[in-house]
Amino acid sequence: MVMLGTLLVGCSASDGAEHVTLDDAETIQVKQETYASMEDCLKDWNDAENCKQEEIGTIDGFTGQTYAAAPGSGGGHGGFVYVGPHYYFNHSTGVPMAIYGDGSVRAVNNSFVSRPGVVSAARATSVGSVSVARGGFGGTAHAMSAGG
Amino acid sequence: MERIEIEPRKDSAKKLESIGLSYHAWDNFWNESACYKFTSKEVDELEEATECLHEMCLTAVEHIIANNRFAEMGIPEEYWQAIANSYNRDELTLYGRFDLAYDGNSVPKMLEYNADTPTSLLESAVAQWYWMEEVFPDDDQFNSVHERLVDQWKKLPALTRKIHFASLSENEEDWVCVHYLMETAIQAGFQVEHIYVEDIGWDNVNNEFVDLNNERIEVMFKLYPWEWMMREDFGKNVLKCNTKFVEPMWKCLLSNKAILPILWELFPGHPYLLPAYFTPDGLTAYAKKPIFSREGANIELVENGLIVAQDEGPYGAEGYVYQALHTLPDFGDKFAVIGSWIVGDKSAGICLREDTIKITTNMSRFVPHYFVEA
Repeated sequence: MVMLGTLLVGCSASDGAEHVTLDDAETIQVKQETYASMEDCLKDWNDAENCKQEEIGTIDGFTGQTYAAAPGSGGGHGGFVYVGPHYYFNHSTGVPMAIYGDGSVRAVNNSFVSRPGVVSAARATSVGSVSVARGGFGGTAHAMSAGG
Repeated sequence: MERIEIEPRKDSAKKLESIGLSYHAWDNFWNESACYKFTSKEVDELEEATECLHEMCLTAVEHIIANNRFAEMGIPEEYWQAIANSYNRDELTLYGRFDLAYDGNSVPKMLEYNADTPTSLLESAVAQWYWMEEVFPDDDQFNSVHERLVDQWKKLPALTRKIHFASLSENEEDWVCVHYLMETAIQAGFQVEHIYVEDIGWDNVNNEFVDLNNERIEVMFKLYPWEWMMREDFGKNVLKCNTKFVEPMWKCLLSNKAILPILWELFPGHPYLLPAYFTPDGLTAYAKKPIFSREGANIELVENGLIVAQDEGPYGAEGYVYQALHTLPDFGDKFAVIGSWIVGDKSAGICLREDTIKITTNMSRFVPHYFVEA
């Protein structure tokens, strides 16, 4: 099961004067895995800090999607699913980058989700996106050379 | 030092274009109908002056950081600590170019230091070298720019894999300069990739600058001035990313014209410096220079209260400095300025640009040089 959601991330000057246009923004795919049990989640993410229990039917604040029963759970254990962190892959290192509730991002080097071909039978993936803003440099030039 | 009129090579345009100097004919920029001849003694003098000035500049950087003089230089406060950190971490500097007034008779005088985004690099490092090999094959040229650039790249941290090179779109001169530098980095063993400054991306989740493939930019050579970056939308992102910049942030202290009065304050009367102040008081003849200015723009030359030369431009909002007027040497109605290259901490060679006015601008013409033993 795949759920889609969108997170738009802007960039603004601290004085609030202007916002970077996101008209030509690109997106990074952000995922979240859903598991039938806490054990399954820990197999992928190793650390309990990365896994939490959510009630089926709860709306994920990140993606806006509703948590449903994980595959192979037979409808969920007592009405709960277990979810890993929201994450995306760092293109350079291939390591999943977990996004935490406070906005911080951390590489999860020992995650099994980073290993190609290793798929947990009880994992479902939801997908959202974050934006890469462009055009934040170059405005001062006004057709002048930047050299000297 | 002597200006000599000579016959240009008949196929010079073809040869210049073959090495990538595509803009050689713009306003007759490349001029090989003349050249400058130096003696080895004069070259030694320029080399010594350049390295001495570089050392003085590093002392000035330490003074500015230790005494918190950033505000006088028009630098926004949120960058002060980052500049100090950049210097204290000894972040790699690739190159810079001093502009010197010199005629072969009196000592060289520093006019300014293009420490952040100097151009005229391909013509200095390659074009004039090939010219010398053809036209004066038995003589020599003060020019080890290329070899030193390749060696300097090798001083990047060992784990560095790729260097991104950023230049403004729709600016051919900058594009050529950056692509030449990419070649030097390739010869140093790095992967390289070009990106236009306007296309640089900011990944707000990972707090990284990224390229058009959303690949993290590990090291970025940017032909884009720090003083512009600091005032643009992405500027503050520099404070929270892991990208290493070349030139590093501390070089913004040296490309800033406010370095001139600070140098004079630290080394009063030094023979390589001209008196310079934050006010014109006490000077009857001076060059009024915006703190942030490029290619001679907005500079005024004043004598006895009268403007004797000036160039227009958009700079000056952050204030001015006033440097004692030192007229460029006149070689038959041609005013020549010497660009003296420094790569890392070493003097690496010179280039000459000449103009019919006393201010060197982006319209000045590049003239090659050679030297003879003396």
